[in-house]
Amino acid sequence: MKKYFQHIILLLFTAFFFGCGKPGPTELIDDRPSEETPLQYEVLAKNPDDALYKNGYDSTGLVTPPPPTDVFLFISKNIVSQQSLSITYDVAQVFFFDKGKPFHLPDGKRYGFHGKKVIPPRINSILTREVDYVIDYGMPASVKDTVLGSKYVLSRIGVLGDSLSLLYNSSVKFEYREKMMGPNKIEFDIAMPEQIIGNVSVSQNGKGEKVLLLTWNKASKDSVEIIVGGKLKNEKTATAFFKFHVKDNGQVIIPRGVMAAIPRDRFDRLVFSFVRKAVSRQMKSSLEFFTIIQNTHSIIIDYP
Amino acid sequence: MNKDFIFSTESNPTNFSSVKDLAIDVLFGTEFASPAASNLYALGITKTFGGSNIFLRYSPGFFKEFSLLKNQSIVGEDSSDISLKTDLKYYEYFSAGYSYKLNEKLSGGFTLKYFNEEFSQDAVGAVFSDTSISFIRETETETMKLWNIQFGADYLFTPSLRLSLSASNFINMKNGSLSETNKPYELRTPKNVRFALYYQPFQTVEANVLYETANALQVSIGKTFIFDKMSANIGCNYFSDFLLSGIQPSLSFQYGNICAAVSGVVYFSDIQKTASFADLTANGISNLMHNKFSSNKALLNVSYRLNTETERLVQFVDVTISNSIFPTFTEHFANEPFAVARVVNLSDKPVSVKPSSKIDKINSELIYSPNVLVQPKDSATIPFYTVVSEDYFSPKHEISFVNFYVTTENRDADDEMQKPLLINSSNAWDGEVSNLRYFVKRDFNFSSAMAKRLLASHKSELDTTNSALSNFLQAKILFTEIITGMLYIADPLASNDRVQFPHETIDVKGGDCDDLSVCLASLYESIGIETAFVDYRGNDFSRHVHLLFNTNLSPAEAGLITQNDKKYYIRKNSLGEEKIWIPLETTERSNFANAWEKGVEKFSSEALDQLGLIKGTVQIIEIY
Repeated sequence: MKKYFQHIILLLFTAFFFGCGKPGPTELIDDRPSEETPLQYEVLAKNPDDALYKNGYDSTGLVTPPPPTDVFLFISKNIVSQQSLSITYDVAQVFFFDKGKPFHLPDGKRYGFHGKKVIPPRINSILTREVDYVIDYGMPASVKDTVLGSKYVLSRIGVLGDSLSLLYNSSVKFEYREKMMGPNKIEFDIAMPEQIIGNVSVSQNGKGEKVLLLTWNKASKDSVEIIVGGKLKNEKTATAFFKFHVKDNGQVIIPRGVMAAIPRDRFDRLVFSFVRKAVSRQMKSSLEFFTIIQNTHSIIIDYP
Repeated sequence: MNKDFIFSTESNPTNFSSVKDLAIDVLFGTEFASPAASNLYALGITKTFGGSNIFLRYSPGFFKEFSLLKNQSIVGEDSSDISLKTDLKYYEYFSAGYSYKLNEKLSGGFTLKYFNEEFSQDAVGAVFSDTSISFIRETETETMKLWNIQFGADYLFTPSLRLSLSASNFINMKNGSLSETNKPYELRTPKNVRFALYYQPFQTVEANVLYETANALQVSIGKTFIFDKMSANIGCNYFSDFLLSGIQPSLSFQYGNICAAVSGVVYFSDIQKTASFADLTANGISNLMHNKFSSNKALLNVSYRLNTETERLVQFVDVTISNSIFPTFTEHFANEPFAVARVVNLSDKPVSVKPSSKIDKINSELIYSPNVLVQPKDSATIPFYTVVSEDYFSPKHEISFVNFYVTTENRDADDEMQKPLLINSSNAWDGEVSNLRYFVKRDFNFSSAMAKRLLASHKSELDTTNSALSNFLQAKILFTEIITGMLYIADPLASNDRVQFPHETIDVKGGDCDDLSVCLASLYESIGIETAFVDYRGNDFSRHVHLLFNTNLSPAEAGLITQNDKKYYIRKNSLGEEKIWIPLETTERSNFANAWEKGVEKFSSEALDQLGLIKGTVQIIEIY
């Protein structure tokens, strides 16, 4: 009897001992009601001196590279604030890409396609202007510029420029004829997202350390983008470093480790662009239209 | 639940212990999460020193870990997402307990638990070099060490009813600090007072009720089945903190020093593979093994009791000497106990008790009596038997002493007791005619030699007589040679119950009825003549004894000795054959015929005519 007893214990002992192993952790679902940190962190400029990230970034939120599509329609209504001064800046750009002419950067990566000449489209019934599609790339010592065909633009800074007028809570009308004569006119409306008004302030994290608190008027979009850039000393243009995707809940804390890493000796000013945008892709006639319509609020501050 | 296990810190904050010396426990557990995993939960050891008990436990399996995959990611160079996460880890590595038994009813104690909490948060940092910018994932870890003390007291109203009162989380010692970010995850330690009642309404049934002011309730019931060498316990425990409830069925076996139990923990709520982070942040956890994020479990507990000191399992309550010793009754006390003891089982398992005794001057070694099984915490009456050496002889009474022992599984006796004892003289008799046989047998060698010598002198007479009359003639010769001419000598007044051995009767040439009957029976039996005593009990407590002997004649041969059919009696022997028996009144010493005549008169009158054999006033007692 005693032997049977011992054998049973030994069997159970072995079964438990060699059963499996340490139980894994309980997985938690991140269901906190408010997110105070960005959802996604993305580096835009892998090198702050790269001219590619300067020429396309002028507080409009347009960053390279452009999407690989037939027609790229980019409409942006912008406010740029510095201290107590603000200016508005509306821009609409239309790219008709020739997919048979790709353009590669010196490192071999494909940047995009050359722009085609077409019958200029209309934005809100205003005929766009054909201009050169120019990009700069390379490091300061060897900046190169190149013309990648044409693009069609309308722009207005304050009261200067084209008669383009973009309004919040309205839509923008796009018209385009592939041929001068004939019925094949392409036209559609694009709804402008709600206005975004941002603010940058200094706060404290859970450890009592200084962090940047970014706030904005929250709206119905799932997320907004915040682009962080810096102005190199002695340069007029800003370089876009990072892009944060955050919940459109009105508030985000930029991790201290991110901001503290921006070298004070190289950048004397920081630019925070709050971007609320709508992206769509649609087929019209035989063309694929990729549309970004957005409004932005860029805030330029001295390095905190 | 099973009191033989020592993993009791959770349910036994007062460190109440039933371990008498040393116990070692191993606890394995399997958690039925997905996938199931089993591991060593704990190793424990407890030691009792006098009234103190110390308990130590190493519990590598007492932990809880959470992993949160945040809704945050870093976009890598290849456009892949690198997710950020938060890890929350809680460990209870060690615990210790101490209790002190102030008296048989009251004990107090405390337990001390050591927790380690580790919270790791992934954070994003950026690296700016002269030529590049990149995001990096940084892990920031904070730890907190916590010493948690519980204390309380236990009071035994009766051996089967115990009240335990304890308090926990009134004293906590922390080492480390947590940032505001991690403070919500800290192990919760709400102040709590616990009342527990442990009750055994029956020897094998236990029922416990436990209530905590922190809104927790526990009810358990168990039943023990006791077998010859092992016991089994089946029980079930219901627990609820009004948010989370479940049951814990258990089955345990105990065999010798080893005890094993298998139990399960079944929660009534659904098992969640994933859990709410907001819930954890809001409510936290206060118990690593039992919380709303726990999964069903199976547990195996193996306990080994090591007794470096002999544990007394049974104890004498008292010993009563029921009979003084009559040394001539050599085998009498092998069937009739000379003493009975009351013995109590002190343990909580059935014990087989081996009783033994040694009477000074009578026994040269221990005399063992039959084993008796005594149930846990129960008492039993144990008879003590003995035998007396035939070599023992003492002409006078004397006072001796006897040592009684009770032994169990231990090598040494669990308890012993000494009592005085009267040893009667070797001639002493208790008045029971049936015990005269010991006097008949005692002098067999002497009687045989004497009978043969006497019969040899009548060889020619015996040789020429009808062989069927052999027994009758031998009996007549021996009576004539020995009894005829003897004196009737009554016992001394001070010693009525005294019987002479046959050689003494022959030496002194006289005796009373029992002396003469014993002497003649011894001579007859020594040469193969069957005999029986006839015991006459008068209404005035007077006693008389005479002899019957088997002539070995069949009823058809009765005419060879007498034509009077009232002078003999027919009795069946062991083979069922009818034989002629005739009575002899041994006090009638004139001659054989008169002794026969007197015997017939007395027997016919008292045994038959007065229905003595039916009423019980006359008994025929076989010598063998």
